Amino acid sequence: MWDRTPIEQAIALIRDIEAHHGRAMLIGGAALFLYGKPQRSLDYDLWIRIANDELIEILTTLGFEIDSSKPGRITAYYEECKFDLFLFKKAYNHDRELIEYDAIEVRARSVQLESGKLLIPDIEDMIRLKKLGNEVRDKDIEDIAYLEGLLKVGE
Amino acid sequence: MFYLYLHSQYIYYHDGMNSNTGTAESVQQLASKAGALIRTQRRELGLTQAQLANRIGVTIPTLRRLESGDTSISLHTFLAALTELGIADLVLNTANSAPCRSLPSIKPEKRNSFANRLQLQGINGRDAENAAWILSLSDQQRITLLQQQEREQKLCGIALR
Repeated sequence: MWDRTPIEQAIALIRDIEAHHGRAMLIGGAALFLYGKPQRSLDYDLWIRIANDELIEILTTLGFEIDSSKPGRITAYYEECKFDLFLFKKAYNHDRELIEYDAIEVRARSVQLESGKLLIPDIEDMIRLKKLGNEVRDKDIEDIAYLEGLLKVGE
Repeated sequence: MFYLYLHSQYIYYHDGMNSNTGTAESVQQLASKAGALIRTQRRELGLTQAQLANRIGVTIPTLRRLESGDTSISLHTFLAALTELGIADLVLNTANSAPCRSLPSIKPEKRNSFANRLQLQGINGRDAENAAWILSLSDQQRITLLQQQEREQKLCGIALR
């Protein structure tokens, strides 16, 4: 049994980052779940603005096993669950759209929890983020189709 | 944050020095946070204290005091540091920015019609029904659902990698 489930661990990580005056947003599959799309994978993606050495210190304290650390991205494991932690400030996606943390944070949605709030990107920014990386996978295309459908249906 | 910082400092100065202990403590806390933010951003940009001090025209001890939350540092130095680090807009606009929007949600009695509308957009029936159900839950209930699913997957021994 988990000491903490992965989502609880993700929330604990975000709280610790904020306590160190960093900033963090939940992105990827968990954010998509909060928009209504169940995920088969329990990998977690977070976009974080904090110094690498501070993040490594926080991860170690929380019991993560750091798998790899390179500029802009740290991969860590909490038991069997993989956490991809993105540290870049801005990047361009496949559509040559600028993906910038500060701008996406301003438009972000707030998830109200008993323990405080979490931020996740707005639907259109979720679509932009899905187009980052070396390739857009079939799963990403499916997720984009869902998000576009949600946008068209409206809230 | 900075707006509050300035605002608190304004009150602090105009209430008479040290006459309002609560405000003074708030100012000190905000100054410590602001100092930590400056240090974090400086490190992220790969700047040494000497480099940043040189760029904003102060000595290294002054920058150290700024980063440690010394409230006697001049407003000019504080703003120069924010500007040089590229976070002035972010910090100054915080108090004026619009509150974050909440997650999309639907009323439980609208689930079926919402699922139907999603299907019209090409979403398959099962995904549409799942989405309608999840979006009818509160934010906290969605997180609780995620926790339950994770516990069940762990109990079933489902490989997560």
